[in-house]
Amino acid sequence: MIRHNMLFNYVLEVNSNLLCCICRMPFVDPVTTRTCSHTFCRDCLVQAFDHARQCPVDRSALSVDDLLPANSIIRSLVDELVVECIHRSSGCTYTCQRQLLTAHVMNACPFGRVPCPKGECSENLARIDTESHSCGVHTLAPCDLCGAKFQLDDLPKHLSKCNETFVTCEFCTLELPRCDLPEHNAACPEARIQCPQAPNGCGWTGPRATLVSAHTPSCPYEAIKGFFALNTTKFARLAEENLILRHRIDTLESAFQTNKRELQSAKAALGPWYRSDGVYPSSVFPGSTLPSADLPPELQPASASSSSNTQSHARRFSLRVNDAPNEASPPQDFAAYFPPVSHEEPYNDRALNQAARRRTLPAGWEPPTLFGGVGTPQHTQVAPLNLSTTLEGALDGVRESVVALGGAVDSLGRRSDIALTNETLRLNEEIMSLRANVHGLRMQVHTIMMDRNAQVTGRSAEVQNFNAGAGILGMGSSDGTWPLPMHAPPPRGFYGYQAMSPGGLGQSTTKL
Amino acid sequence: MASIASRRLAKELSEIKSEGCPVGINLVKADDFSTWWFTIEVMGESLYQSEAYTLQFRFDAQYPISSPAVQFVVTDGRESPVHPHVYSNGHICASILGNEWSPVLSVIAVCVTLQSMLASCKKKERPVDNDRYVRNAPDNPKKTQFEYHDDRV
Repeated sequence: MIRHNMLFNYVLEVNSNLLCCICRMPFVDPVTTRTCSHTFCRDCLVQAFDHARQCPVDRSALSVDDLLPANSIIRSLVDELVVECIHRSSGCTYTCQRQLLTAHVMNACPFGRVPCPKGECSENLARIDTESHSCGVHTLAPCDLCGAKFQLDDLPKHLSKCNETFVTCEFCTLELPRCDLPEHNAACPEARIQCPQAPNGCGWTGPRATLVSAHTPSCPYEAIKGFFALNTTKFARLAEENLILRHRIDTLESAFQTNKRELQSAKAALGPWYRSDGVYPSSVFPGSTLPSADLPPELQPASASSSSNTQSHARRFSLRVNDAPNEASPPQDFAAYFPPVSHEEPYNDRALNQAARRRTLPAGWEPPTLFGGVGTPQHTQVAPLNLSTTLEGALDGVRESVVALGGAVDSLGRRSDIALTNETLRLNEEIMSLRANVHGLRMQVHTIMMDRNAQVTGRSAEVQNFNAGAGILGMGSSDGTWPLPMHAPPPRGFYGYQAMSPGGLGQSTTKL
Repeated sequence: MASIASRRLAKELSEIKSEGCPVGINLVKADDFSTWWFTIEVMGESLYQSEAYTLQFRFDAQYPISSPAVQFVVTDGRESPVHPHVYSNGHICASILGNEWSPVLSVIAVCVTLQSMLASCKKKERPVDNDRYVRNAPDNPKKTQFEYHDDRV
């Protein structure tokens, strides 16, 4: 890590707030004092402590323990300043953020110092020179002939000399130049060689001179040389064929694996409709054999409904499969021709269980007929999910069920509408009659109140005969619809009452 | 000289050249990073009006951690100001040049401080022990252990 400011050359003018006031350069490893919050380069401040253990700015006492790493914002600001490469004088024009310069010098700078790449000398050299660096004085290369190591530059000279050196043949004690040795070894009569039939199993070795004279006539392998040749060719052919066959097996195996995977996924997709034996119920596709299927549902023979449950069940699905294009006919029409299948009926143990599990509606479910007489079918049959047929058949069955359900919901909605309308009408009438009653009651109460008012104010009514008490009584009844009982005589205790309430007339009026 | 000191001085010098010195202070010579000369002149009403003195700064390798050696030049016909804290050999008794030196101070800051020291002088006189000190004074004022007893000026 390059830590010292003296190595950095900043490309741009640096904000003066980021300058250490000791070295007047951007902070390097800035620290902030705990007590007075001044920021310096760590190295600068530690050096300043040698002079005086106080803050250089405000002279307050400090110790190394009072230094905290500066705020990370400051650290980032100075770490991201753009600097020139330290090898600029050597020719590197690279500039980068200060924090990245170390990596550049260590790993990329062509003028960065690296140790000798061959590891054979201890020189440090610029990266750009490593290609041409030959390490001349240190690199040793072995001589191919005598095995001795020589410096690379001296090797050609040594080779010519080495070839002239006389060496002794290890078999026949003949002395000859090293360059002739291979030639001599191929011909030396004393050299120990193997029998030519060694690959076939002959274990003889001996001097070359005795091979033809002594061994060859007695070698048992030599006698059946022709057979060996034939066998070898045959083996070679078989091996080749084997190779081809193995190749084909590999291909087939991979193809088989692919098929197996596809089959697995198909099986998983089919779920309960997968049949390992491939046998599907024979009644699945009987469409053409059932003439009644082509007839309109109304003309179905009655025997269809009287046949056994399993048969009718299967036939219903087959019927729907065949009628699939005629979706327009309401499914309720079909349902009417088949007896309701309730789960109490023992048509199949397995199907029974599945039906009980998968049924979306109870078999005996009937739409509520609260306000009956709307004219819709009284019961819509929903079939249980049939697992004994093909997936396609089951899907068709489900679709039919959904259509039937849709119809049922529709009719239910219509009935609900009508019921709601009826109920609303009835409630309206009741509210009307209640309103009439309330009106009558109000009239009666009003009459009573008028009577009472007339009693209380009887005298003033007589005095001011003209306005008849309407304004004085404060009734506000300028429309004159309310009967004003003017004839009622004042009650007996009226005067006494008047005497007791000095507040006068206004206070004794009663407002409705 | 160590690079830290020279870089710091180079920076100060470039600032002086780009921004100029404060009023009354002028750079005489700064040919290297070891010795700089400035002239200082006290502006306004003071005992030293229209008198110019020359200040010499000597820097060592530890600058700015250690203080520069600052004194008035008393050769070549130049004189040191007559001041209670300035000896006739040019040495200055000022705490910021000794134990109160701080690395955040700079050459210009020292000049301004000494300028204000002269400006605030009430009476032109030599320090009381001037003769004794000048007789024994070392060449470098930093080697003197001053006692900073008078903080009035």
